[in-house]
Parts: sequence; C-alpha cells; structure tokens
Amino acid sequence: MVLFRSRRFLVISRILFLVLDSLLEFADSAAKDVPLINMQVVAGDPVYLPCDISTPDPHDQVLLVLWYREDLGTPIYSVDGRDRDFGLAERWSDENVFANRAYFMPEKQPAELGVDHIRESDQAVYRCRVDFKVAQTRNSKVNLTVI
Amino acid sequence: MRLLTFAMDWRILICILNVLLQGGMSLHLVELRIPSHAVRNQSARLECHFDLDGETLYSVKWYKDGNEFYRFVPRNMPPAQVFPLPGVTVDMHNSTESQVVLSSVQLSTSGTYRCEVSGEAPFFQTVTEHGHMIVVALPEEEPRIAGGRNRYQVGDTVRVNCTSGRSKPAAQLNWFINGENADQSFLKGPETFVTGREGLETSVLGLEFVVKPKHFKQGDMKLKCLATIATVYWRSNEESVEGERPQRASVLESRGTVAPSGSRADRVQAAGSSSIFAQGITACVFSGFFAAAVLVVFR
Repeated sequence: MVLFRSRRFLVISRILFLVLDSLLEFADSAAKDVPLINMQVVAGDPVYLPCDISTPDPHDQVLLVLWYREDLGTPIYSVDGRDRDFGLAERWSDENVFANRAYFMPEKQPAELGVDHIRESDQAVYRCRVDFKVAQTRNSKVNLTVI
Repeated sequence: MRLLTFAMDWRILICILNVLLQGGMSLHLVELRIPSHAVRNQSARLECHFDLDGETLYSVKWYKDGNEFYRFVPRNMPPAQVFPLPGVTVDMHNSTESQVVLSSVQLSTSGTYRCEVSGEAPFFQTVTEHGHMIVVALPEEEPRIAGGRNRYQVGDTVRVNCTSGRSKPAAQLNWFINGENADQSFLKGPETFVTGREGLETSVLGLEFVVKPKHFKQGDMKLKCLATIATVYWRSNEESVEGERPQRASVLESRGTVAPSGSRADRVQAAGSSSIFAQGITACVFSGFFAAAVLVVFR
C-alpha cells in the first residue's frame, strides 16, 4: 500500500515537472535579444559550450562567469575571479549536474566550457553570464540536443 | 519487500526536503511590478522585490530587451551603476536595490524588462522574472465628432464620424447612443491612419443608423464618442441633437407646442403631487410628437 502511494507520488511529481518544463520554455521564448546557438552532440562524446568572455575595453576585466541550466535556479558551474586574477579564479561545478566532467577553458577564442561523456539527461538550454568590472553583463545561450 | 518500501519512503522524504529547501527556504522573488503602460514624458517605476532568506546579496541586474542598463552590487562603491541604452534614463536618486525609476520615458522606452537577482558565492543562487512595458503618447486633442446635424427626425439616417487625436498606440473608439453602447451593426470601421514623423496614429470610427423613436430621450438624442488607451487615457465627446418639431401636422403640432422641454418637465416634477399625472401627459405628448414626425416623413 505504501509502495503504491509512493509510485503515484513519483508519477504526479514527474507530470508536475513536465508542466513546469513547458512553462519555462514559454518564459524562455519571451526572453528575446539573448543570442542562442543550437548544438548537437552524440551521447558519450564531449561537448564544448562557447561563452564569449572577451572584454570590449582592454582596461576592463572579467570578474565572474556563471553557467546556468535554464530549468534550475542556481548556477551549475562558476568561475569566480572577483578577488584574484581571473587565471587563478575559483572554479565550482555542481555535483548533481556536470560534477568533475566539466572544465572551463578561458584561453580559447571564444572561451568554452568543456563537458565530457555527455548523457541524455544533459539535454537542456544552458545560459552563460559574464560579469565584467566595467562593461555590461553579457548573456548567451546554447540549446544542447543529445542524440 | 519491507526494506524496499522503506527505501522508497526515504527517497520521498529527501525529495520533499529538497522542495522545501529550494522552494520555500531560499532566495526568491516576491513581486515584480512593471507597469504595462506608461505615459510619455512621465516617469515609470519598475519594482523587483525579493526575499534573500538568509543569503547575502551579490547583484541585482536590470535588462531591457536583453541589454543590462542598471545594476546594484552592494560590495561595489558606489553600489549602483548605469549603462547607457537608447530611450532609457535612470533616475539614480530614486533607484535602489529593489526598484529602478526611469525618468521621462519615450516611445523607444517600450520593451521587455527583466530583473535578475543573485546571491553570493559559493552558489550564486539566481532568480529572474520579466514584464513588458508600453509607453503611450497621449492624444493632445479630445475625440472629434463630425458630420452630425443639429436636428434629426424619425426615419432620418445619422451618419457621423469620430476621430481620435494623434497618439501611439491608436486610441480605441466607442460610440454610445444616450449613454448605451451603440449596436455593433451601426459601426463603420475603425480605420487607423499613421501620420507624421513619429508615426502617431489616428483612428476613425463611423456611426450610421436610421433614427427610431426609441433613440430620443425626452426629445433629445445624445451621441457620445469615447476614446481610450489601455488604462492611461479616457476621454469622450458628446453631442446632443434635438428631435425635429413637426411643421405641418397641425393637430399634433399644437400638442407639440405643449410638449414640455426637458427643463419644463423638471419643473412639473418639482411640483410634487402632480408629478405622476404630469409624466403621463408628457409621455402622451411625446408619443404624439413622434407620430407627427413620422407623418411628416411619409407625406
């Protein structure tokens, strides 16, 4: 009896998540003017998610890079260089998402977040937010499809 | 079996705890208030209220159509920073971590506004919400009624046009006959014209109908045109036309002369005791008056 109730709970929560997902997609379509690129990757392969961190003004500097998965509120990966040189910035990766599969490559043009061994559950829209010391914040999105 | 049941319940408990921790006990937006319409040259207040719930605030960022124009970072000195954006002038004195005030908004200030609040390291918890704002250029002139005559009689066709003052977006027009919404079939249009450099718009709504006795209330017919723009503009113009007094129906004409005007009826009613009687007479005289009018038409 308890088992039955648990299953029902799981089904209901899954339906709830589906509804939430579609709502988020709707909200997402309203957020225009944030550049979006589409990427496809075969499950098991690595993927490189681009994120332009170049500074328009040479005297400016990158303070913080945050990667979000659009269905989650908290970032899934961060590079915090606010109190030190960006090369020595503190990197953090969400244990429940990419964990140690992800690594940021700021030296690439544009910079990339590499993620190894892509899983089907990694399919999502990712947003990269770059906070500069002086310039406007830069946001860009990647719509990742896993095939 | 019992062990499995226990394991499932334990999972659910964690799930519920997660929901509580993420949904109920973390940084969240309480209210985003973006006026759907603002009036040109006036200021607009955009509010973004959040509950840190124990988190430390790292940043509040405001974007218009994806472009950051204001940010508030408590650890910066000064905390507030503005970025130039066409059509967006931030009133720094009245802008805080939970609101931005835009001064003297212009048509180009219309757009999608997003507020994004982030907590401090290590999680940088982030919440974001957006709303749309349309800046309205109000008409300088009230709606104009044209094409009407001073007098109408039953059977005549009323053909009038209402033209709104130049605005953006175009004003919505509505016709009322004696205070009641005109029948949809009486309406012609509306048509909208774009004029001038700023692309302001004028609407025209025609009203066309054949006069019936019911259209006269105490000998008068009131035609009102109402112009509205969302909830920020509401202006009307009304014309009152008289029913035509019959010329040749002599028998009825004499009654017609007795027929009290609106003010006369008021006076009779003011007399008190005779008021019901007077009203009866008034109604009687009125029906005679209309009969006369019809007679004139069919002669």
